[in-house]
Amino acid sequence: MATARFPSGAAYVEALQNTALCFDDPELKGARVELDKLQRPRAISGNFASVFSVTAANGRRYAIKCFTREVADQEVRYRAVSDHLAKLDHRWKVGFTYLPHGIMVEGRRYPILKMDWVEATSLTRWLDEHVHDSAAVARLADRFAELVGELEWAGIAHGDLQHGNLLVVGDGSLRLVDYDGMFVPALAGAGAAEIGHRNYQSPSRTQSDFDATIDRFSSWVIYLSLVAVAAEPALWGQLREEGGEYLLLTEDDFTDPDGSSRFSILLNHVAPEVRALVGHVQALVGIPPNLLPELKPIPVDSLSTRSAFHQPTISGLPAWMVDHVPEADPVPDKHFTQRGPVVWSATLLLVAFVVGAVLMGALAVVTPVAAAGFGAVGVVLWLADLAVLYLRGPEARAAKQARTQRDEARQARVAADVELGVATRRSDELVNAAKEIAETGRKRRQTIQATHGSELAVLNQEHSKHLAMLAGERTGISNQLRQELAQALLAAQAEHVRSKLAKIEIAASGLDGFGDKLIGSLQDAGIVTAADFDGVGYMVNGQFQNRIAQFHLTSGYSVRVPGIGEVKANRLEEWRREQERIARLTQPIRLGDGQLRVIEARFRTQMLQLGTTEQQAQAAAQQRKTLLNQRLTRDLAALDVSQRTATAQAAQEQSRHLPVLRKAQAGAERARHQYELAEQEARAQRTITYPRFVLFSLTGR
Amino acid sequence: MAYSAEISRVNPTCFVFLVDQSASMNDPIGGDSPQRKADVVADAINRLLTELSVKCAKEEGVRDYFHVAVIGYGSSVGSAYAGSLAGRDLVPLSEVADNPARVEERVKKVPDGAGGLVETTTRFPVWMDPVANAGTPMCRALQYAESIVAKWLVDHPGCFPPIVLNLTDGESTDGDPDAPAAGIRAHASADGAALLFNLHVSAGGGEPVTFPDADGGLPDAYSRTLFNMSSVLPTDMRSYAATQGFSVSDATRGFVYNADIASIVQFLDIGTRATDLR
Repeated sequence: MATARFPSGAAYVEALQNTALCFDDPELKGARVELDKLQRPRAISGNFASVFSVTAANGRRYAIKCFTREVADQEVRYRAVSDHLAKLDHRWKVGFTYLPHGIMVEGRRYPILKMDWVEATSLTRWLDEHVHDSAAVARLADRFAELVGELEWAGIAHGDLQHGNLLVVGDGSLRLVDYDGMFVPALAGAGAAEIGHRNYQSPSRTQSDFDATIDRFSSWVIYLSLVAVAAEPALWGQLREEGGEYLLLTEDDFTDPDGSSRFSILLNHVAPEVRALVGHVQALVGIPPNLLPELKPIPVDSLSTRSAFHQPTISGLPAWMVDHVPEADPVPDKHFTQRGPVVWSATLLLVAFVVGAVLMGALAVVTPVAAAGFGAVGVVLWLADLAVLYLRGPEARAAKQARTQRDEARQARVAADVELGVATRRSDELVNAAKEIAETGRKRRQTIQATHGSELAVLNQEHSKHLAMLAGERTGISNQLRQELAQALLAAQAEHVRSKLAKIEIAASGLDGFGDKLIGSLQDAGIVTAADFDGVGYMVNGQFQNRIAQFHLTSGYSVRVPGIGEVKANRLEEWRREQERIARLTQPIRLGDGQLRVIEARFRTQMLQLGTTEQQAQAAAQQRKTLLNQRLTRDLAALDVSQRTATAQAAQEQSRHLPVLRKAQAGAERARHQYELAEQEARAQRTITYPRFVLFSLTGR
Repeated sequence: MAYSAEISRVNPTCFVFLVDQSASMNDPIGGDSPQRKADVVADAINRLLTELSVKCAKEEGVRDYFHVAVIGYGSSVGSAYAGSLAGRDLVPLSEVADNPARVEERVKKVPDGAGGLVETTTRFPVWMDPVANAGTPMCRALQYAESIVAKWLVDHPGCFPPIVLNLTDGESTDGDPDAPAAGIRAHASADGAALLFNLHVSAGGGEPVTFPDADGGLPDAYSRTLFNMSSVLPTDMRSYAATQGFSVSDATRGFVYNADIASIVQFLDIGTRATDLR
């Protein structure tokens, strides 16, 4: 698949600021481009292209179509369409030339379509302006049916019939533009380049539907809309929202025709022919696109002159006026009109009685009292006759009807207000529910995060405590090591001194006063060398008041040696100390390597064990932290999902309710207008009273 | 199907652009370009607004298919529009289109088609000026965007989901942006959850990464954070990206790292493209 990247609309706007550079075509080179408010080339953009208005030096104006997206086999398609259209001489055609390298953007060349400029208005805009000219709309419906007939006859199809591609020119005739998706027989089997505007297409149309029938659904939709509006212009305002990209029906109506409020309104159309047409179009939704029937127009000309097209409302205004007269002009008071022969005969009756009574009185046929009575009877009969005439008369009947209609309109208004109230409350509820969901979500998120935060803090604290304890152990162990090394060194030094002293015999010392006997006594006590004792203590003999020396043997015992008094004991002890001092001079100041290794090895094992414990603690804490984080992520993700679901659901409900609310608003507004009109009608009837009728019968006013 | 709502004047959607205006945006973008990051991002926004305006232009003028907010964050968080739109949050696109702060005449050299270069002048509308000072209050900015999105959805529950596009060079200075980002993505219309895309403009070097589907190849923690904050591209956007030659998968996210100018425009182009402009 080709993946050529087409320039964006803005890139074309930039390139078109220099037409001498971007165009190759001699007519377009240096041509003038229509500018927008910012004095930049003015674009009209669609989904696949932007179109610019360009006026050549020779005064010819063109619409230059610049493509923003790849269309498969574009050139082949345009050639096929161009060749086929050349053979037709239909009025709806707009001439074009495909220029495969027509424009240069940022150094690369891209195709353009050079089209004749058409001075025209798009269909929706034209309808906005002409909706109240029912005859013109009816004529346009006819012309549209003709255009569709011409396409059918030629065996071709446009592919995207919609309000933007149907232009109305000054004389009211139609032009068809945008042939990107057109089917001509030469393209059979190529597949559709696009599937048309969503508000005009059968829901079941796909890209594989590509033959002469692809316009049928949209033809019916457009034709129905035009005919329905021609007959009842109010529909243009009722079924459309300002700026809606459709005529009277949208995609939603096609996907759910039975639930569509627009179809149901159209099915109540004033004109039976239109009702039939609506039913027909509604049924088309279920038919596969290629089996759809050809458009069969109804005779609009005859319809447009019929009363159904100008159905009066109770106020005498046509239906569409109800929407367009915010405050109706005051209705002039009603009056009695035309005293018919019956009224005249009643008056004659009165005259006859009065004249009769006067004559009778004057001629004294009867007593004056009887004559007056006769006259009075005449007046009474006359009034009774008038009463009957009044009640049966058209004016009083109309007055009564107006009042009834006013009462009905009042009831309808109350009902519509109630309905609006219900819809508004529901709307508020839905908005609040959505807010509630958001708020709940926020709170739950906060709770989750707070829980996570505090659990994490506890975990961190425990972990720190554990680490501190292990660090304490580590200090303890190294202290112990130091101590043990010191003790070992002391022991080694002591052994060194002992072995040195063991080699120095007292006999060989030549100490003064230590003869063989004394040496012998010392030997008997176990003292031969300097190593055999380590000190001298003294005991006081109470009897002789002298001190007796006692030698501390290295074996732990204390002995007395006969013949050794304090002086000699001191001398021997001093000698021994001197021997020790000499021995200390050569004592080791550090432990032997072997011993050192043995001790250190023992402690290293302990340290290693401690290190392992620390690592395990780290890992365990890390794992717990990971689990906590995973749980947080999971909880937040779950919350996200549930929030999304809830929000989407709430939004769906809101969007489902929106049309209900709009309808209720429109309904209430309409009912208010209707009531006001009916009220004015009824008020205008206040002059229709019996006394006035009596007066009228006499005076004619 | 989600992300298929019609975007029309009757059913418009909204775009919220978040623009990092912290002091570090003064640094050059890196690579061969001497441009400051702040200039690059401001140009990107201005181009994007032009692109949207052209895309929505019809015969009678620009249509309000979108309402657009441009929110800057640095020394404060708020509207970054200059000129007559200053101080406003969401503005209907037609009003945006007609009211740039000014239109600059920019001279640039373009290929003449015959192998040479030629100088040409184009008119370039400017809505937002480059700003760079203070910290990066990304969390506050995301919360600000969330409030705009939430308010929009109350009035437009059936719209194509709002799109928030965050352009930043990295580190949030007011906390972990993950939670406020999730806050945005938790809002939804009937057509799906709001979309959050991120553009990471970095002087940190490394290969540019466009629409990745995993954070493995990303060079630093900030880009991974931003990646994980970004929404997965909806199907239609993904297939549009694919037709434009990007390699994509189901997990492809709306994220671009260390994007040069071209990939910024690519990213915005796709990010702003709605399924079907009718």
